[in-house]
Amino acid sequence: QETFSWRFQTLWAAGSINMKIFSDFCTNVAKMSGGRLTIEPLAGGSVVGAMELYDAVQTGILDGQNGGGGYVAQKDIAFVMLGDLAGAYERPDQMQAWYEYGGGKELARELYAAHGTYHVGLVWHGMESIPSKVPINGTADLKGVKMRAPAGAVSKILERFGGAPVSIPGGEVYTSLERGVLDATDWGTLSMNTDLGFQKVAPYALYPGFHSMPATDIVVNMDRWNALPDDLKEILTVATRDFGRDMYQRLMIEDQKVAQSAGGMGLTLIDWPQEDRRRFRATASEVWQELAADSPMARKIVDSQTDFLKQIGLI
Amino acid sequence: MRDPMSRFSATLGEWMAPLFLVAVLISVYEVVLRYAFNAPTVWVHELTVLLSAACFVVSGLYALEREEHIRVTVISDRLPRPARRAVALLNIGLAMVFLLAIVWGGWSHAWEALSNWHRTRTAFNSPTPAILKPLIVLTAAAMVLQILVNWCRNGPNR
Amino acid sequence: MDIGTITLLMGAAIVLLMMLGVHLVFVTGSVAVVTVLLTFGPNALPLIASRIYSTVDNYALVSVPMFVMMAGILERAGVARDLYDAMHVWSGKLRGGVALQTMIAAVIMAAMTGIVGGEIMLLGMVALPQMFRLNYDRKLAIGTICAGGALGTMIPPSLVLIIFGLTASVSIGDLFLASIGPGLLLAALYLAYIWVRCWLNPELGPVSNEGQNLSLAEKIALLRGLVLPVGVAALVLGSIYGGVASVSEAAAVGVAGAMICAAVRNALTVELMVAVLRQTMRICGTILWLTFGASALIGVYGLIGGTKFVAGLMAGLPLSPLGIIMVMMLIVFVLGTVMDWIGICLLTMPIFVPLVNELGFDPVWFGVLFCLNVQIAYLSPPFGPAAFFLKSVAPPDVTLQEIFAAMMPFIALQIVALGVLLFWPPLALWLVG
Ligand code: NA
Ligand code: NA
Repeated sequence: QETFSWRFQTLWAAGSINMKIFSDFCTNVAKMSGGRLTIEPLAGGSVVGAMELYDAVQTGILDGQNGGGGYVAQKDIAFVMLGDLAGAYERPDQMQAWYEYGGGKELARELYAAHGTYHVGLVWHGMESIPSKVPINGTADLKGVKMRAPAGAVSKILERFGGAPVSIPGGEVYTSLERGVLDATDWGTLSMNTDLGFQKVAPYALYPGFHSMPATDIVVNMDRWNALPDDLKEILTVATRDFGRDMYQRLMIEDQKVAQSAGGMGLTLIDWPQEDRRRFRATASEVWQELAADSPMARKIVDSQTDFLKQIGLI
Repeated sequence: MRDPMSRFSATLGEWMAPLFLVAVLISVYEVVLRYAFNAPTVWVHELTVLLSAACFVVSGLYALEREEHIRVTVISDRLPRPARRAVALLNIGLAMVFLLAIVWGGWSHAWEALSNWHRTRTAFNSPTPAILKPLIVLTAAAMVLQILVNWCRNGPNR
Repeated sequence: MDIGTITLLMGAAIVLLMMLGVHLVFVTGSVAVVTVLLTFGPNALPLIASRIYSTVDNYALVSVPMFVMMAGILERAGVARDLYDAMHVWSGKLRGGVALQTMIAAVIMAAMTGIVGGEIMLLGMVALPQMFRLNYDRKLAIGTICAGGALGTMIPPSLVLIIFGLTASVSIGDLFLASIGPGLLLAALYLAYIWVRCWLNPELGPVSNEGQNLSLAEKIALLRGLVLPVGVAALVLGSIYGGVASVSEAAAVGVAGAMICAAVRNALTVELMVAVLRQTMRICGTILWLTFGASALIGVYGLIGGTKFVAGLMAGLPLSPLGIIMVMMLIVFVLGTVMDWIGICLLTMPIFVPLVNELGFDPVWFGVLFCLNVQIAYLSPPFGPAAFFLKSVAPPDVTLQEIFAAMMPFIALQIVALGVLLFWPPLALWLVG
């Protein structure tokens, strides 16, 4: 029987819990396939930079990726609308339901196939939490807040609420928050942020989060995918679905641990009231429409998710 | 007088160098706007990176024309002339390997970025990939020519 | 061919080609290309251009040209000369006084920048010619600048600690606090070394005779030479610690400050700026293209399984926990002779970080150990970035081999500091609490 030994690079940093979960996924695939498909997990940046990851999969330097739509933005804004529809969801399982049963995976596969790759599945790490130096109790408090917001959508939404998006690069966020160059930042989930010690320089955190829920993905070079026998294709697909569950449940547990001990570490959690969440989502949906105008594929992805969000009563 | 290739390399570097100063001035402008007026821009950081990066890429050609690239001379200075000539040829060969790999491997993504005018999709949405990717490939190609020109300029005896 | 053999061949090729006198910029790059061609074939070549693109599209690099411009302006406007004249006279009978003051200036500058290249180049342009002029021992002067300049990432802010923190999910603030003790220990060791050497042999750091003939008024007049450069330093430090500018933006503020200095002295001319900008272009060309080749090599080595190789080295070692940490430090040290620190971090941390946590060591302590080891990697030949940075700005008669020879005693001091931190973690952790 033919065996396949593949290399996937992830976006996650070498020592993060996310990297550990990605490695577990690779181990699972090897076990489930009886060693016929092995995947070597490569940490973020070890072969190519995050922005060049997708190109490396497309050209076949890497067999696949645990990447993200936001990093393919330059090719088509549709990748971003699939990877993180800013402000849309409250929990990962809602988007997972759209992906599995609401037409999501068909659209994702169409989009990625047009660029020489196969979209195996999406993986969530949870709602991101905003660390801030000032209390932000609702949309009104966003006015004048200097917040690092690299993604186009989040900074557009922030601007509409009178905030001041700053585009400081990742490596300078911590010192900039510490010194007050920034009031707040877009980063990871609550536990990812406290792992890096953000609570020491920003004593407030918006939790549970609402502004962004980026999905990472498992995407494979199209020729490599086509070369797999059907049973291995199915094993990889199901393993990816379980990877998605594993990632957000384990991070949810980490987040809740932090939430329990927030007071002890001098961190004040701010839970936005429903009406502010709705106001944020309404403004966000205007921004999605604006961005979707750029590409027919983005239009389809935004429309499909908007329909689904209406169906489950979020808008 | 210098040959056209060397003149091109030198002039391009000299004309692009002031972009460093532009990067400084807009960075100071950003600091003032943000600190004094609470009005940060969405374009300064990205433009600073773009301007500096474009200079970084082209600076390799500029330094090559001036033959400023660093090497260890402890052994080569003591070698007899034929051996030194061999090292010079090896140097050209390895330079070709590296630079042609950039050109050969990079041109398809560079062309994709240029022809589709890839932008960053940030709030500023600058065409950074569309400019930098082709610039890297073109600079490497120019460096190939410049190496050959340098070799002729120095004569076969070096 | 297995990865161990490939690793040895790559290392040997790099050392051999460097020693033969191939331009460094083409050594690492061509080794990367040949390796990827032999292992993956031509289809993997896009990796090279891709690595270069990620390297240049990086905000942290922006401060490199800015430091070079700052130095170029201060030097050409005569500010550097005045500064060193004042330092020389005021150090009086203190042997090696100017080198000691340069080291202290290096520590202060390290608090202004998170990178190494800019600081070494600034010191190399401002301090090196002045120390040569004052008849300081060449090797002592060169070593002072390279070792002192490398402190840029040992004293916070530090890009090495930030990248380690992000890679290992460790608090960046704790890393910054923890690095202060070891950073100051390193600086103290350097200062003590300079002082002892000059005390034993006064010719290494000649004292000024001018001071005796000058009246106090004249001496005070000389202090004016200090005002402008200290003003620039205060501007940069103030903008960072006052929350006005980010660390990279502060470099731009520094350039503006240097331009103001030049203007105060009526030296801010178009000719000066043109000369400074061209010099900046030239220096970036020699230094940054070197990092392109190094970055290509990192990607290639990651692709062919470098991390797996490190994992193999670590597997089943019959050692005590501290013994395992020492093996890790040895691996970082050896990789540091031929590879850029960022590559070492990417290759080794997926293996090291989980292991450090499993063994129950404090990852903050380990991060500072790694950062100290990176100090050695900056200086150690043949791939010693500190030497390359200095060479790019030093007078032409300063050769790479002279620079590397000058660094040896400072590398020994770095190893001493590494040993102290290894066996006495409170040096780093007492501030963290
Ligand atoms: Na520093
Ligand atoms: Na080294």
